[in-house]
Amino acid sequence: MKKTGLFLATALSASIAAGGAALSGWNEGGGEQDDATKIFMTFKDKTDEEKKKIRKDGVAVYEVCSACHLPEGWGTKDGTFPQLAGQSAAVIIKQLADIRAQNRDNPTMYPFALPKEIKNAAPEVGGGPYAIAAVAQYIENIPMNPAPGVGAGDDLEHGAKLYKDNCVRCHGENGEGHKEKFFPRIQGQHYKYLLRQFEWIRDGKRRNANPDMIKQINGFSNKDMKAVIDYVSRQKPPKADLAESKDWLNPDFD
Amino acid sequence: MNKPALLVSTTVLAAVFATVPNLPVDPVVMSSKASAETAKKKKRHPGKRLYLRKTCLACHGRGGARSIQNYPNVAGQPAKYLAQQVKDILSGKRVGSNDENGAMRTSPMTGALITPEGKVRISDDEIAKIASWLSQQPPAKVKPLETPLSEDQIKAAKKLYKKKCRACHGKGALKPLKNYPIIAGQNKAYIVAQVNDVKNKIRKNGKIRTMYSMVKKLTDDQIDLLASYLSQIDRSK
Repeated sequence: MKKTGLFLATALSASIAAGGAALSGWNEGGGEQDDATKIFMTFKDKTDEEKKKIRKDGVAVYEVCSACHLPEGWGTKDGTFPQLAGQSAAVIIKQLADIRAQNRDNPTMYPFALPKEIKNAAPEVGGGPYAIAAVAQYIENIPMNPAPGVGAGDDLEHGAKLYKDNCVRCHGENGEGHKEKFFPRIQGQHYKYLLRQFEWIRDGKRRNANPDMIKQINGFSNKDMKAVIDYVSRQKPPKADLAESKDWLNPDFD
Repeated sequence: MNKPALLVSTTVLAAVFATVPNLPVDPVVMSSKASAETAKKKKRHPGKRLYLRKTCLACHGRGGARSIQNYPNVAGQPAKYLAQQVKDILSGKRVGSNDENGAMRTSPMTGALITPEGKVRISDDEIAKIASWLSQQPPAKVKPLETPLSEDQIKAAKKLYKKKCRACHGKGALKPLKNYPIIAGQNKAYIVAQVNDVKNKIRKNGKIRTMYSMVKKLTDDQIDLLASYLSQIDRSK
């Protein structure tokens, strides 16, 4: 594992203590999100032997996810499935818990995210909060796709300006996100996936969206949306987080 | 380590088949055990990579032998049959009734392999490779029924099988006609769904026409009995 969760874990406990109340309901936590987060926070203090076991369990659970998000966790360029690789564990835990609790509509993924199916595929891990924590830890450490799907590239200056004025505060200078606040990493994500989510958030279709974001992007036209998303999809994650080539195959599944 | 020996046995097998030109039984069926062992050694069959990367795993499970809901186990089926079914599903020749979630049975597969713009995400060559790999995988383990069949029920099921199914699907449901599916040990829910779809003239692709006349008068109880019986036949024996 190339990253330790120390920083994240401390930040997360603060966030749980605060109960996310300031964020007007989009992230109340509770239920599996808290359970999985608490388990995840204990990972950093485990022995090497235990860490190995957690990784192995993460691989076993990820096999279910890999069917659509692919063994590399890179999703598909056409945006049907997002890249998961390199996403922060906090975000993965929240989204997975939200989908399971039907706070985020995802009819395609829903049946596969259920405890029953995960337990069926990885009986040794079970399908509960530990499985969520282990898979989130695994996903965060998968090297990212160096060549994600991008937009037309014809309005990048406009996109850059929009990004600076509207997105930096939460998603960071280069779309790296903000783990402790559950703001996802969006740099290097497939253009078409980002576009769909942005549109759903703007138009009120994504139920677990952050209300601050809905307000922030309220006035975006479709042209603005395309420009800013194209810009984001072209932001490069740090080299250390990228796979060495676009032909990399995940050895855990090959 | 045992590679040379294995190689020899495969070669011998191939030679045997080569010298018997009109072999009545599908070689895939005959050699399923030997092939399963070969598959273990050959870790990098291109079909495996494709199986993992074309969303097949989601519903058919690890090695094609852990299907979920009422999807079929596809491990150890004749490669030609598998490939044809995928093509028929993608072209719309094979359709199905709605599943328990209200989705048309084949729609998860078309949804995964055809983009919203209508582009098919998998080539015939890729389908053939996946089918070839799957045909060599060890068949699914038997999932015990909630209530096991009584001896009388098994007797009745065998009688019904002989009358309605055996001509094509073969003795013990293990030795079908060439390129027909092996229905022994199949997921019970899948068998029930398919027999009903054939009976209701929803599934009409391929040679299914011949099956319609056999199943059109089957009652729900009879279909359940047959499916229960078939699902409990252990192909690994």
